[in-house]
Amino acid sequence: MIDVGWICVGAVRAVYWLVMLVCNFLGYSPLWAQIAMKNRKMDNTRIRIPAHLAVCFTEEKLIDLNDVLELMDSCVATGIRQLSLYDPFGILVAQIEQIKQTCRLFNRVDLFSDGKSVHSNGLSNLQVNVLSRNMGKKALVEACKTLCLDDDQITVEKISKTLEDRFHLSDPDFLLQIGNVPTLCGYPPWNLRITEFLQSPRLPCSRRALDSCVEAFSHRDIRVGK
Amino acid sequence: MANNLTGEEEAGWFVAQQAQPWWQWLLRRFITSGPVPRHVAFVMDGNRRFAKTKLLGSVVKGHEKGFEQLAKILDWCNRFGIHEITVYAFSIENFKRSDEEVNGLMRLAEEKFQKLLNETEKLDEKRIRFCFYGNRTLLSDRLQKLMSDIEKRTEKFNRGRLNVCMPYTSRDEISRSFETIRKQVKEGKVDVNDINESMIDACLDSGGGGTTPDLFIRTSGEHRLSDFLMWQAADTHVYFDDVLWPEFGYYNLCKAILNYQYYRRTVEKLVSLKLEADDGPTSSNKWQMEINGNEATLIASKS
Repeated sequence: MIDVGWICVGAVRAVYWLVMLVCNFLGYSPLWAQIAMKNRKMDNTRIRIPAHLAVCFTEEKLIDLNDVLELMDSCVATGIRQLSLYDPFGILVAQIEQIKQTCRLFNRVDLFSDGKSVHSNGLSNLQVNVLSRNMGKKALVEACKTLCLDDDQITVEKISKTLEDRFHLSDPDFLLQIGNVPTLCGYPPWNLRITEFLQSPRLPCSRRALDSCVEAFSHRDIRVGK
Repeated sequence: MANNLTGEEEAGWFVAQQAQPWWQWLLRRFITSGPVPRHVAFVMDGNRRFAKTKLLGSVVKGHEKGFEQLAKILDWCNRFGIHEITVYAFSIENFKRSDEEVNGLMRLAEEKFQKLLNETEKLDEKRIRFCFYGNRTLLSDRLQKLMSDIEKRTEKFNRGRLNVCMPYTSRDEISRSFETIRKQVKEGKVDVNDINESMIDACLDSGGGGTTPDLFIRTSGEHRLSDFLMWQAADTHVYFDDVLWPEFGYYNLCKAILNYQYYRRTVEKLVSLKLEADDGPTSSNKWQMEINGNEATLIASKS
């Protein structure tokens, strides 16, 4: 006698086999396989939090003060210690007073505008440096002028130190390019030596969105020449 | 393209100018109907991973494959009308790699540079100028001599320009440029207040007639600059491709140029913002480096 139960099981197996065959042929992983692979990948990857996160706005319309303030909160919650906000249009530097007011009220943040200290909190969790075009090549020109007054040879270390001391510029571990335009818009060039880039259509200001960016950073393989 | 090459050409710098397959010709005609970048910079990354995944046995074999791919890409770029190409051949940081790999790479470079000098007819026919960027004092005397000979042999050529960065890092290049300026200041040839972006540009390795890249391409899925042309590419279109360098084919190059064409106007607008902001009194001075024998002098001209 033919067992109906066995026929059903066989039919299900055949359909499953056919789906897998088609997926393999087309190069797609079925949704459940993608989720399983993602979980396995995450289990094997240690989450690395970038100590210094940089944000480079490539489109003017994407700069929103409320989003920026929310991002600062998310950075504090994630454990990021330093945030550089580069805006080649100069909008954020123009709004530095508003950012300062909010920092005073809500965030435990040390705030810098183009390298100058604007607001300092003794118990700060985050250092924020708002950067304009002036901190790009122009800052390097200023560093060159300073170093040319010395009698000693100019070295890589001296340039890094001058930029850090005068303009509070240091190397970000991770840079988010906000917008679809694939350029760095003159972001301080000296500090992008081994910075990892990620392009995002909008600012990942919520904790969840920032976490997924940090997750992407954790998967990056950093070799520094080796 | 690869199957059109003879063994001799496959190992050399110039591939045969044969007819392209119809689909490449069609794609080229379509793409060249729009603006094409004049200068493209390549980070040739992924040779080692290619050697490992294809089980070539040694990473140096991967670098050899990478060089073969470079020769093909030079030919494709030439057909597209790309006038200047800069390639990141060897980073100063790469000296940290195993002795076997570093020595293998140096041997490969010596072999290829010697081959280039021997290809007299091809050099005269193509008329491409070869320049080397980087800190050459870190290389062997023989390699340094070969590089100087190539530069001297091709210095008058003007149909194209290939800049080979070896051993190079952008920070090293910028710091050497600063040091050149400092010496000029100390000798009283230049005033500190005259220092501007143009002066730093003139003192970089690219100062001798090189231009800033219009398109920066990095292969192998890594999304970073790795200390390559950081000054020159500060406002450039940056394009990342997931394929390994030896697998970077004609289709990938076309995709990169199409991407450049799509964003060209937007990137240009962003650069014009910078130029408006730079409208200062000292920034209008344009500088050029003139070298007479061992003496370098900065020459100013009002723009």
